[in-house]
Amino acid sequence: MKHRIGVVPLGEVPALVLKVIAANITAFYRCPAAVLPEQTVPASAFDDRRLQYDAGIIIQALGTWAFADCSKVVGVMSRDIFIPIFNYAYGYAVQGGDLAMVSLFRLNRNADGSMPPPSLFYERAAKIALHELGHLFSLFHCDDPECIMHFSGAIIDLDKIPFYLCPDCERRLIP
Amino acid sequence: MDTKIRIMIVDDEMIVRQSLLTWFEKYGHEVETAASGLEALEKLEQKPFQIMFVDIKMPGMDGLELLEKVKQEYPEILVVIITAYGSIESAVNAMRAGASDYLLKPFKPDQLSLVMERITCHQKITREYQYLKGHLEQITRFDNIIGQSAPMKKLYAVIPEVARSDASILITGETGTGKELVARAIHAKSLRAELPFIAINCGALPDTLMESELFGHKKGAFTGAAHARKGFLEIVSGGTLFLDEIGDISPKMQVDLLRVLEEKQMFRVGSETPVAVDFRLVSATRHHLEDRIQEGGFREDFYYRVNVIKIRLPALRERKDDIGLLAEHFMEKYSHETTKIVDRIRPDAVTLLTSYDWPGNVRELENAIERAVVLSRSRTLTAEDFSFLQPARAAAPGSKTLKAVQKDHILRVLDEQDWQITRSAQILGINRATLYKIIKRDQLKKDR
Repeated sequence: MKHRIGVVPLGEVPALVLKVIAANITAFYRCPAAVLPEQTVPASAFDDRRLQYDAGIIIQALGTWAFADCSKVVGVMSRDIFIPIFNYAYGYAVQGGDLAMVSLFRLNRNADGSMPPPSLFYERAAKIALHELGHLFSLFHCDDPECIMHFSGAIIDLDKIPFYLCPDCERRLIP
Repeated sequence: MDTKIRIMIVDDEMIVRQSLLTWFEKYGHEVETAASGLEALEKLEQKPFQIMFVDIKMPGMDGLELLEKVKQEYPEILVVIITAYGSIESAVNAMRAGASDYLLKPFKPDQLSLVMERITCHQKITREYQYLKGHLEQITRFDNIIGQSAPMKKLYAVIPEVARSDASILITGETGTGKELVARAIHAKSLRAELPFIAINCGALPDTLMESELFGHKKGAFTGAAHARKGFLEIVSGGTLFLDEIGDISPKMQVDLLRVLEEKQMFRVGSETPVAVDFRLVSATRHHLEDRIQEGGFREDFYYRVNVIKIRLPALRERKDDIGLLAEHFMEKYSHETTKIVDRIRPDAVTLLTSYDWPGNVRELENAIERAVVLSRSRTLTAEDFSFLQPARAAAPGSKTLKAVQKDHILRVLDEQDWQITRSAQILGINRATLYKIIKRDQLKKDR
């Protein structure tokens, strides 16, 4: 099937969160999504000064692996990732490209340091995946806080954005 | 509303440029990168940007030096300084030099979002400013006449006043001062605005052609008149007839027109049937018609018919305050027409334009700007782009004695005033007797 979206665990990732992400993608973008076999995170992606993984290097690695029948792929990892100029990132995608990734590392903590209930953690993971996939579908960051493409730089903001696109982004969506 | 922002990222590290480029692309902004200060300045010459993210530590020209240059040349651009070598001192220096914000890398994604939010807000204020500026421009211009100097403000007040009446108007002024624009503005503000406006340059038409053009002709009136034809006096029916360079029309045509103005009717060439005409006459001349009357070249009765209301247009050198405004207007016009981005004019160019005499007035200024825009290789017009103006006039006083400069000046004023002694003496600030003495002493003579 040409329009299948692959959800790839990068290293060890809880199976349930992968299933939640895949189910949300299927429902949200009306494209079948499937969980694919686990891949090993390349060692070169680890920055030993920052103790984080470079999202750009991981995306490059994702591009070298073959994912049959998938038009787009979302990598999911439990480790902390960064984009060179930023301290951290929840996710990363190349605008209009085929590859994106989600880091679960910072999603399992609330702003006050407490642990969120599992349902909130899954919700956050799904929101990041849907947001990054939006970029793969050429959607830009949206000014409307009532849109999943609204940028969230902190966990408190991520919890505020809804699980849907605003009417403008809905119109722009080109799956 | 378009919220797309034109951004330039200047950093010697490719990874930083790439990261920021990817980030801003997610907002749909138009982004370009430069690996050095020099490359950034080159790009700025080609294209306008609204915001720059500049790394403070770069080989060659560092971020602070680039910031200073940008603020000097392009003060409207917002500059955000980025550095990994942050210290309070460099932050203070950057802000003093005009930076809009300061980021220490690596920074949190929401810090960058906050900076962008502030910039979007600034952009909104800038838009509002441009909107208000547009309104202000409407105040500083009247129809297509541009200027905010005292003589122009007087003119703007006079136009609606005289437009309301139906009296004949004579517009005087040097060549290129915009006499036809004023005539059109008077027509546009008059009760005849919905009816035709016909402009005829009397200086460009020989007498016989002028007669046929104005009065029309009957079929067979002369060789080649195969069909009857209406003249402009009929075609203008109810509108405004603008006769430019009225001082150039022949005495016979003056008599014919005088009759039309007095009797409100005319005869086509070769016809004996009168045709009623109704038009408002606006005339213009660069000459002093009073002198032409004394010389016998212009009929006094016709002069009083066309000169019920007189409007004198100032020469451009009498309203130098408007040169900057006019230069910007023409730059925008020709930038649009040539589809070249030329949107800035450096102060040295404005100084040069203001120091020039502009014998051809606004028309000459417009031609100069058009030429500069067409030949400019960057988006900024500089004094160098107007170097062609210098040989003509600006060098004049350098090597001359005071007496020679005085003689030249008096001669120029006399020429400009068509050797009208009273007016020339007024402009020179001396009395008539003194001017006569100087003319005699220095053996000043009229060119023709």
